[in-house]
Amino acid sequence: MHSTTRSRLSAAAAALTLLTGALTGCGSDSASTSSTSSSSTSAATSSSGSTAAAAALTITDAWCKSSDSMAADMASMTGCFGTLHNSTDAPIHITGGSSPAAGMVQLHETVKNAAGEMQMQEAKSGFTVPAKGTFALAPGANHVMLMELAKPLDNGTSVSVSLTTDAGEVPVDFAVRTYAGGNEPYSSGSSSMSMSSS
Amino acid sequence: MRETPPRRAVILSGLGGMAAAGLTSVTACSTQADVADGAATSADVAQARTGAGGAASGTSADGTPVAGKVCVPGPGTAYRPFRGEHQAGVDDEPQPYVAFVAFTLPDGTDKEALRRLMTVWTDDIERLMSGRGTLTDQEPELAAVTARLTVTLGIGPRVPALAGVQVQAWLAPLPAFPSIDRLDDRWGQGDVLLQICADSPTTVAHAQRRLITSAGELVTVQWIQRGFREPFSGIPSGVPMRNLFGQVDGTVQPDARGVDASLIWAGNEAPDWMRGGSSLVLRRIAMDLEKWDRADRLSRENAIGRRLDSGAPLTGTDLNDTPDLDAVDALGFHRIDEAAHVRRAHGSGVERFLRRPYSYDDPPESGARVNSGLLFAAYCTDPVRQFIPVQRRLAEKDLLNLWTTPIGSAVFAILPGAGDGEILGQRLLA
Repeated sequence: MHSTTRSRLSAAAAALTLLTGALTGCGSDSASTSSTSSSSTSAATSSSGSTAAAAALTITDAWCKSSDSMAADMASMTGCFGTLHNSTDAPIHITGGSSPAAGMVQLHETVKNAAGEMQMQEAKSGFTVPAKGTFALAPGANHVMLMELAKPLDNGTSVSVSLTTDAGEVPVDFAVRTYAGGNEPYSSGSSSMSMSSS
Repeated sequence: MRETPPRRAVILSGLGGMAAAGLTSVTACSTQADVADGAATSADVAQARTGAGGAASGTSADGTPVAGKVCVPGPGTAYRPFRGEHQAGVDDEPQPYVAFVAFTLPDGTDKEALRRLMTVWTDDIERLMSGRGTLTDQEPELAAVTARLTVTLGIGPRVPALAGVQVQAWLAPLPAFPSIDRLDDRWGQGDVLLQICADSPTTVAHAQRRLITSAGELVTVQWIQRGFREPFSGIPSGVPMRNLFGQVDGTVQPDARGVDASLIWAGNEAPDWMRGGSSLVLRRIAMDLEKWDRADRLSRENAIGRRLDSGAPLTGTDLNDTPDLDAVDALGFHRIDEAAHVRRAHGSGVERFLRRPYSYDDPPESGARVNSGLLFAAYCTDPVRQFIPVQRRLAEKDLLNLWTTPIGSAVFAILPGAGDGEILGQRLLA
């Protein structure tokens, strides 16, 4: 188990440019040994037409930041996190997503702007989960962004998202949790979308 | 202190968490129920590390967590599986550090909000007890030291009411005991309780912090009561703790995992949502250590009816001797005083409960020199039948009342354990 996990972590580290080590560590290791926590793994098998993709791509420790912990001017959007696992021998490319809870789903990355500050922006080229590897979605790093939320996401609920991949649609269930961090300013070219990180 | 503990236990326990440095490859699960089946090395380690009574053993071939057992994968990482018929933290060997955290539910809390709270906490508790950070944990390294962490969830009378079910008669504040009580609302009844216990105070602090944080606005913290017991298990296995009076405390206990299980765990007589649950009476009992200083040892022993050194009753020689309440001295006086604590507290039949007391020693209020006492924690199926008669006797007459004052009191229902895929309170909130 440990060696498997280490190789996964190595693969993840190779695929990531930001904060990888701190993101997966204990969580993915233990999650993979837990047989009882229903919320820790979201492996999709129910959505029609996507079973194969779902088995190929799974996510552990999936959660989104609740609306009540978002800044007031950001309350219509939120970030979602977790560790993606690719069980296949080929990379899986995630290009976007959709959710009944949100008008728009984007893939975001966090980069340094011209002023040297970290800010998030859309990852236009998507995310690639390496073959037999993992890809971390974490606050302050790569994540899935739900925008134009239909209604606030309450702590302790969950939200369904379908990730669009080159292997098909992958349904994912994210637990919604109160969380104080993840307040990097958003840069979409519109200054009205940016926010204080304090 | 009379006996010499097994040599191996001394070595391991004396070194605390570092003792198992050479044992990282050991994977063992032990349980007090497996006492009889001998002494695998790993099981001995488990026993030494957990302080479990008797020669605990029972090695799981693959180290898979089994409900009711304590697993020991490596240093500091002994852990108690979360899921099972009962919650952890009631009939487990008490860990040395505790935080009792009571919460108030905000106005407007409904069943859906309760369900969300239990969803968050169930996931958090399962993760923390197995050494994983919570979903939002940015310092999961602190969770990695499980230190036998248990988190036990209790509910006050408002919760069943909000869930739309009948509240048990016993789930209410205890009756007043005006002869002894000086209750401060500051330590009063809460809506929800988390009892967080571990071998490490860092582990307790981290779990407490994460659980409070992740509940967000679903609760507000009402009070926190921290307590401790002797962290060094260099005392013989099974010997109860000493309180700050120096008394051996918690001597006679029901067999919660055996013949007395029905005294502790709710059965078919209880509503479905409580079966497998219990109750907690938590009393904060101030101990006047300055007044105690003025009592000589004979007076002290007479007050409790036990010897201070061995904990044996004044009529016996061994800790576990049954007090002879009828024995008289040459002058015809009872050898155990009419008002001795052991006589007044003595309960038989249903008037018994599991005690898991912790000491507290907090900063004194301004101008005072001491702020110490006992977090008296008692678990039973029905406090009205089992606990209150004993408390009534003690309030009426108990020499210890000269030095002790109850200043806080609360009663909680301990929910049943969560089965696979269930949240705590699953049947209550269905």
